[in-house]
Amino acid sequence: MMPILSFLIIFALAGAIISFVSGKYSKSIALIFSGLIFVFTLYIVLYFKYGYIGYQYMESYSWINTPYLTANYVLGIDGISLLMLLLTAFLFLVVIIYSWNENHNAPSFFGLIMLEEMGVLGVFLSLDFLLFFIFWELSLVPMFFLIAYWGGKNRNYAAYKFFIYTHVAGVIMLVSVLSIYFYSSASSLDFSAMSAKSAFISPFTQFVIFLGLLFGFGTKMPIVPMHTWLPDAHVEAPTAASAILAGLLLKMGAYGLIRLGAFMLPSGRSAAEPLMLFLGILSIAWGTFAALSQKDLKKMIAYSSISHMGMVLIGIAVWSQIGVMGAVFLMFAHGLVSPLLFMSAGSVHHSYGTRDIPKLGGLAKKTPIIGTILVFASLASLGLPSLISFPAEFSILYALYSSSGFYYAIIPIAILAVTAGYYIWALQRAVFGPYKCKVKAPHDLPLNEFVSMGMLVSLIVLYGILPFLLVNVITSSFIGVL
Amino acid sequence: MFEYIYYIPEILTIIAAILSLLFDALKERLLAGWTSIILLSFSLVVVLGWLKIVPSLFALPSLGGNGIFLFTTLGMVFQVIFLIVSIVVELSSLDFDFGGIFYALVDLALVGMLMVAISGEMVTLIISLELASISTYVLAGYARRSSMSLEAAMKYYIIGSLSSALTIFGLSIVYGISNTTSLWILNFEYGSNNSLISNPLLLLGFSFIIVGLGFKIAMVPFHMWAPDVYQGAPSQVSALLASGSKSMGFMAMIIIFFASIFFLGAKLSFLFGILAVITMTVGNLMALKQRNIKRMLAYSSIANAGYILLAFSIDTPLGLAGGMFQIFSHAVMKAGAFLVVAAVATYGIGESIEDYRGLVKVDPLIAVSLTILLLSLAGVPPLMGFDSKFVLFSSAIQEGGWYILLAVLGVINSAMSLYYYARVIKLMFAYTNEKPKNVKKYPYFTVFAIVILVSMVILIGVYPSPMINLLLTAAKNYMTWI
Repeated sequence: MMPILSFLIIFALAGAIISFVSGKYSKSIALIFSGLIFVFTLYIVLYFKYGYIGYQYMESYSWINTPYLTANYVLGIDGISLLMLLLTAFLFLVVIIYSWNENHNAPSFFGLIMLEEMGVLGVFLSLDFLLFFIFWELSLVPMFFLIAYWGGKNRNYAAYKFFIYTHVAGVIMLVSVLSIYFYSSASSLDFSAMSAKSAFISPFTQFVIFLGLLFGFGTKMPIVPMHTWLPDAHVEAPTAASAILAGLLLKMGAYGLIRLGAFMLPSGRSAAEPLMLFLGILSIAWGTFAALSQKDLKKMIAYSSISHMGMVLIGIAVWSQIGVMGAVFLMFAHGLVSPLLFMSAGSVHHSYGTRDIPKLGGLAKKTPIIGTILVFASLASLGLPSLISFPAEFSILYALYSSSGFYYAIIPIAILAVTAGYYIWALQRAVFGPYKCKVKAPHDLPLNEFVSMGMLVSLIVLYGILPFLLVNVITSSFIGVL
Repeated sequence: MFEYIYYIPEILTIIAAILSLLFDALKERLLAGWTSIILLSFSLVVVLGWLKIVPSLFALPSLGGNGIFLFTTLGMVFQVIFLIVSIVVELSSLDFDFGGIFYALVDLALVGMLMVAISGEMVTLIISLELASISTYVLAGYARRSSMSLEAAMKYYIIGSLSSALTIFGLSIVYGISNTTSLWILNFEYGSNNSLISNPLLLLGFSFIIVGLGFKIAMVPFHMWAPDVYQGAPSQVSALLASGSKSMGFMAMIIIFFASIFFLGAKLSFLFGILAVITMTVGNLMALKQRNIKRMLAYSSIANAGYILLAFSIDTPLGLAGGMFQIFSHAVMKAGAFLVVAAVATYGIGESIEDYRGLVKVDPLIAVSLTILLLSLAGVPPLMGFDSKFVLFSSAIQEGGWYILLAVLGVINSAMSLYYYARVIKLMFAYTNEKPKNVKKYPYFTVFAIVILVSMVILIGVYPSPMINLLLTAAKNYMTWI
């Protein structure tokens, strides 16, 4: 069989290298290669055996073979990775279309975006821990440069903070997974080889290792005590990087927590369940109330991301079929909605030169399309029924209610009301009302931004109306585990 | 059992030293350099043949000892390190018109290092160490017109003499108790004789040796000389000191402590663990605030000494293999980084980190090489620096218990180091308006040497399996041999 998953990674790498050296054609190169990746991904999605339990499109080659440590080059996907793969391929295409007018050092910009795509694809496709870790670290470096060179005023600080936080988280994760490997004396660093033995580690050790993983992946997600890098990074990052960061890099944390944490350490996860519930609810509350007080549109969206990822953590913590399904669904949903929010905030910034909510006002009058998309994205993010976030959040809350009871479920539900509040309040100040901006004739969306946002909008509506398209794909991948 | 075949590398190197002096007298400077490089490369091929990496030129009859020398796979691996470092240093010197005496001194230092790698007895060890040290004292002051260089030489000489005196004193105490200078016999004696182990003088002797060799490897708190000397000496000499001389110090420590660690056991293990953590932390913290790139590299070299010291604490074949891998990768990366400093100097660019702003415009090849070397030093996969740290820290995790704490502290330190490496990388790629500078004489040989080292970093980094297997075999043989 054709090693199609390796092709995806090779395309991204080739796209990166060619973009770096191809001068003014770099954006076309990036578009072609990301389009190629998207087409191949559609092929994978079409020929994916739905309902099949286990990994598909497997590729396995021997790589490191020593008496004490075996690691192989293994790629493969199941339902969860399929969704993440689709999200990655789609989002990078959208982001490249959105950044079509990026002229400041374009070859490096598009080269770094493609390199980032390679890292993210690798994380979601690899089934061997060493490979996973290499791609994980690889995804940090381009993002660091994207923030550090194309960012806002305070970009240096934000770039370093992002880099150091996520790198420390990464190495703690490395130590934790190596502990799984050595304590379980698994035959190799393959996920399947480790999870075959890891359940036999003593419960206390599992708990300690799981805490390490929770720290590592939780910093990336981020959940509340370790979240401070995210608002800084988002505010300073260019819009494209923000979209990738919120849409994909945060998902890597949640994906790792499911794949490496909860799948491998069942007793560790159940011991850490109260802690995860607490942290999840704390993240929701913290993110929501912090978002309420933000003046910068992007910072507000960043805090709303934190509260959404808290919701994902609750889904993982509950660990019932519907809970995990909801968590993965919400990852996918948030991966579409938050880039749309960041892109519309970026477009506001292009048109009006500011993102401060008090300085804006009456956007809808001068730039109706931007205003409409901003309203749509906010409604999608706060969980309006018939849009994509609603089924996801509903299943998580349902799962929380059925496993932990009324008193646990009432807190996030009450906070969701506040979420609706800060979005509507922000919209009221920024989009509606009298026109307050100093810009006399702001331009509305350029074509490329309109197309890219339109692509996101259509998927948000499609999966909001037809959520069952995703549900079965997700559940088939952990029927054997739960 | 005395066969000349064993000593081919040493004999060739001595011939190279004598020929260099001869050609220097005849004012044939380039010829002196080329003679040395060719003879050293031939030695390298011979040793690699013994390690079965290339087809063997001279069959090695058998591994073993003859009372004075001890031939082990481990020693040969170290000989490879010393030879590689010396060859690249001499290659780089071809650009700088240093004169034949320079090559002769490097060759003599190399003879000392090569003999340290095979010495199996205290007096041989001391003589070899002194031979290497005295040659490097002269080399540190080789830039006679520069007061910094002279200061470096003087400082290095005084500190080096003190450290030698302490080492010799320590070894004499051990000799006084045990009545033998053979480390081999020593180990068998002590393995069975409890009254000797409980002798407090023995611990005193070993403490002196740790202090003495601690100066050589720049272990905290005996590290103060390293930044001054590395900064003042010519960059090629700094490369030789940081890569060659330091690895030699570690080889001497392996000879002495891995022979004795069985009977001193837990006491030394704990001591080395503490020293390792202190050394890596102080090195990294001090490196954070350096403004001069050579001082920064010096402190990062101190931090690396800390990582390597973990191997002495872990004290398993895997730990020793990890330590050797770290020594090897550190030698390659640090030599490359110092040669970059030398190459950049030909453009008239200074040694301050700020001077490296926009280096990518001046010379993309050098800038990208330095980026790869620094990322590798920071332990970013898939480069060699990551693999070596991976093996080292995973050996700690495999031991379990408090070694996991050591591993966690190690990886956090490694993550911290990323900050100061990333600062240099970021500056190099920063946007500047400066036009490319012209250079009188392009440093072809230095760049060639850098490219060799960088390709080693990448190739071994991507496919570390043979390297790990070789080191593991070497470490296992060594620890069962002693």
